[in-house]
Amino acid sequence: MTTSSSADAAAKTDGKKEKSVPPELSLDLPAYRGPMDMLLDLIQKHEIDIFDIPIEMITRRYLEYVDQMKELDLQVGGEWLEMAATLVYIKSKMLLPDDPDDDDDEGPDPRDELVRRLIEYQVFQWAAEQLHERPQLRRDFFMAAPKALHEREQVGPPQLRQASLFDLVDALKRVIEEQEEEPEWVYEITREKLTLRGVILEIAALLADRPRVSFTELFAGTDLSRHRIVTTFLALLEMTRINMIRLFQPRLSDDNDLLIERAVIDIVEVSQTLEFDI
Amino acid sequence: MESTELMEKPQIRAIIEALLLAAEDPLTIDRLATVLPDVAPEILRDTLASLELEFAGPGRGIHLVRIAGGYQLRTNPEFGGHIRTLFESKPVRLSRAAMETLAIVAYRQPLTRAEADEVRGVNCSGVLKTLQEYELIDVIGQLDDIGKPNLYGTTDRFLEFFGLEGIGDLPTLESSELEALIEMHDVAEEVSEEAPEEDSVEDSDDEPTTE
Repeated sequence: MTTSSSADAAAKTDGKKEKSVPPELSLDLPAYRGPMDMLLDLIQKHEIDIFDIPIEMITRRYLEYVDQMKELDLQVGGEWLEMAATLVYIKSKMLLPDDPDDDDDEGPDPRDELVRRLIEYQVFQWAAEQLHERPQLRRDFFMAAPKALHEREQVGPPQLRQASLFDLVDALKRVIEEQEEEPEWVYEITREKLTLRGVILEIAALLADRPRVSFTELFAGTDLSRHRIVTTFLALLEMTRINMIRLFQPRLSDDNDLLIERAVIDIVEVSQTLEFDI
Repeated sequence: MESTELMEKPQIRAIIEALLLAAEDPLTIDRLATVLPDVAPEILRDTLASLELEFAGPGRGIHLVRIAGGYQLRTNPEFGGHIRTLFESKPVRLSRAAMETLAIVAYRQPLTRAEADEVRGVNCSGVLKTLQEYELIDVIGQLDDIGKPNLYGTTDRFLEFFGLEGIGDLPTLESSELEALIEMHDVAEEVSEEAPEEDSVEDSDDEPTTE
């Protein structure tokens, strides 16, 4: 809708273009997904034969559009300028007379490559529409809620995915960021007697009562120090590696704190039998 | 033997129904065979085929469909709106840019980001990342070239998301729009060859470009 109305507007300005219309009036810029999208729209709107593009007119319209983008302080990406250069190049090539010494009737049409790309892009636009019209998961159809998996049934809310290392790093960053607001961070002098083993035992004790705790809960009631954060991080990595715990990241909730879930029932016992070289 | 198999058929059918409901991923014949090792694969196949016929059509709320090489129960797409009301949820919306990029990956895979950029004429790295987050595409390898660029491809989740049995289930591009366009091109060429010059000059009057 917006695209057609703005094109009409553009056509009108064309008719009376000498009457210095202030450019602020043409605020209704259709949002294109790039230069190719814009060119295809132009071609469709003016019912242009894609194999015989009036390059002069297209180039003019295109440059007008880019100018409008600039006037609106929109960021004009490099791809827009690249296409502008391509159009101007093709236009200049078309203006050159055929080389009379050339025996061939015609050289390749300078528009060929652009036409090939436009058609290719149009085909994929069509394919994208086909995909969009297919019934889609969570829009048109749904699966049975996967409650049957025992680990999901055992604890907590659904819609979790297995956390990746990046989720762990993100969770760590959040804790550190909170920490940095407190000035004590800088004056850390005392050092807790923290060992990897000790922290693992602590986490295991927490998980013995409840099957799942959040990442921030691990630091509740402790003095937050860099040493503790790093040791906790290492403890989580080690516990995940030996399958004592699983890490989950809520997928859809706003509260995106990492969740730690026990993967063994007798977690305290398991943690006490661990052996470390540290 | 045969008679016992015949007797068991309704039970086999019921077991398969139960498995289909409980399974999280599309259930393949192979997976079914590990659960029901005494049942001949033909019987599994036949039972699934008959269940597929039964769970289908506008009269059923649950459909059995072939997805990503297996079978999956899902709700009838007609009733998506009702379920969304139940969940009070909005449909997952992929932007048109994401759809275009997804289509390019689906048809051209494996492909690099640069190839997707080339087709769309814009930088696709952000969109590719979003699609990766949705688990619709993934990095499936590296191109053996300078810089070892990542190669992208679609995932099983993609097939599930669009209810496709396999990538071959996508409508073919060659036989559709592209061919029509190529035909148009040929026709356009023929016309321009046959038609005398004056005709094309007259035609240009119709162009909205005249100033």
